[in-house]
Amino acid sequence: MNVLTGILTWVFVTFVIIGAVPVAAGLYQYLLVPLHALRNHYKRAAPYLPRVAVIVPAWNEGAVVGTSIDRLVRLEYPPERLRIYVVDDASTDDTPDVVLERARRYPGRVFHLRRENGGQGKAHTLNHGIAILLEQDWTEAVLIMDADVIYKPDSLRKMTRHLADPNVGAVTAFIREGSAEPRYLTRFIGYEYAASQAAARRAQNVLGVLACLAGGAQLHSRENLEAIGGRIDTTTLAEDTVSTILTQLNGRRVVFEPYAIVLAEEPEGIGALWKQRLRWGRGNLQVTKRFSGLWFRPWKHRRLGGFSFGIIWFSVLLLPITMILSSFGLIGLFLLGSDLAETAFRETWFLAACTYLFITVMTMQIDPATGRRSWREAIAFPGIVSLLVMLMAFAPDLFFHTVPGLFGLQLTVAGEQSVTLALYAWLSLCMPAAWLAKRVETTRFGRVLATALMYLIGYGPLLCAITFDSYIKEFRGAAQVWDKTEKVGRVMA
Amino acid sequence: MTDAVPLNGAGGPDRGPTPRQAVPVVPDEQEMTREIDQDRRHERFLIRAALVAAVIIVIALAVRVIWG
Repeated sequence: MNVLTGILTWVFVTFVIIGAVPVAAGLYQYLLVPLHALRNHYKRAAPYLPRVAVIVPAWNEGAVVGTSIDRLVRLEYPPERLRIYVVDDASTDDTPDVVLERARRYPGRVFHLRRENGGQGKAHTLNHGIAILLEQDWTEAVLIMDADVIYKPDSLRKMTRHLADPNVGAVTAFIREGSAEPRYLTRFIGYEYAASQAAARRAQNVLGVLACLAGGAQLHSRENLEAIGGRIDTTTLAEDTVSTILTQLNGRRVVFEPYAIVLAEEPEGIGALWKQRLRWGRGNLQVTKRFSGLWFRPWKHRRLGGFSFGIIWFSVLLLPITMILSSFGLIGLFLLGSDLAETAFRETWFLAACTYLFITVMTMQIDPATGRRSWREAIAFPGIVSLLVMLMAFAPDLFFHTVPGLFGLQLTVAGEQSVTLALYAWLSLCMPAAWLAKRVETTRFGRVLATALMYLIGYGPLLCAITFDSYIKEFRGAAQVWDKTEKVGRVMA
Repeated sequence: MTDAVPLNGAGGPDRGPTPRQAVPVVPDEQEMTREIDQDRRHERFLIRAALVAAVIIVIALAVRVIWG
């Protein structure tokens, strides 16, 4: 019996340690961010203005594509070196009219390419345009963007300057959430983008390997696009990530340019966000499978196969599993009556608290505009309940004795045990709770309830719940549907 | 100050680019070189940001030692 208890204790401790790995990996990634001050690509950048063909895939984008084109023609870029090709994926709205009107307004600069048999998704639409562009010698670089994003005037030339280095195959920009009147969810997304792009992609620049070119801002040199097959992958839901990995496997670098800012409108409801992120999550699983021979094999590719990149990649991909394991481990230790349960809980959550503090403070300074706009969402990103759990890890007496004592109350042993179990289980429970927020959103008082739940449960757990759902959908082989994210068409500029 | 952009079909009749929206001037090579250098130097703010974050972590550690 003692042997079994010993074995189980070590198994549960291992689970808790596995649960802490993504947290440690997150901290590691953000500790790399300041090194971008010393290790960046600016030393090899130079003024360079290649002839850029912009591809704008559009399916029923009549509400937004006109302004996107207007903004593109006003970029601080030589007009004779910039052409805009809108690939109209058999739109049934006024997209063709809007684009043709712009083509007349900007002769020789805007072109309308129509796919009569559309509906196959963004990658197919892009390939239709890329095939035409690569037939023309004129094209020296290709900018792939979304129809609804707005490029800041200096963004394109800030991207092209990296292509002056022939070792660079592709450059991406900072996609900043740009709704003029942001709702709570778009503010969460805004903060997420600041943390995951403006901050984390700087760390990936330091490592010399990028996980993903932003779908709305990927600039490829012609040589690179031809080297990766002259087309975008159509077999996965994460064609951007496949292009990024193929570029690097072909020996070219991918660079993130933090000062090239592109404004995008993001989903305002949990349901729409869920659909969008489910697609991304499933895409990442498909990419992981497709490049299964690459991970943690530096002899295959020094950086993509490196330990650092592998641990960062899988920490995001497997986060829901590690959270469940962590809960399972803590509850297991508790049921075994091991003192390690409390120690493991306190140390794990203390590490989480330090990581949260470091990431939040760094992100708010890296993108102060988003920090000012989304400071409440930055604080509530892990959820108010998780913040309380962090506080419990700091000072358990405060909650078990001091606070109840203020009201003349005292927790019974059973009460203490129940609270302890709930705390240990929270890492797992937060995911179904986030799913609940999505469910209640469509009910009568859904908006209010979902908003309250999102601040309580947190945006981070919501993303984990979506990732978990992507496991289920992918495992079941659910149909791969390209769900277009609906946009209402107002971004600030 | 933000400038909300009414889009086609969503914000009234489209009157085309206004004089305010004229094509911006492309900086010359010297200016772009200076800009690259400026952005490179600006990245030093990341070190300051990390130091601020580190100080907050140290405070958290101190609180834990005292309080925990």
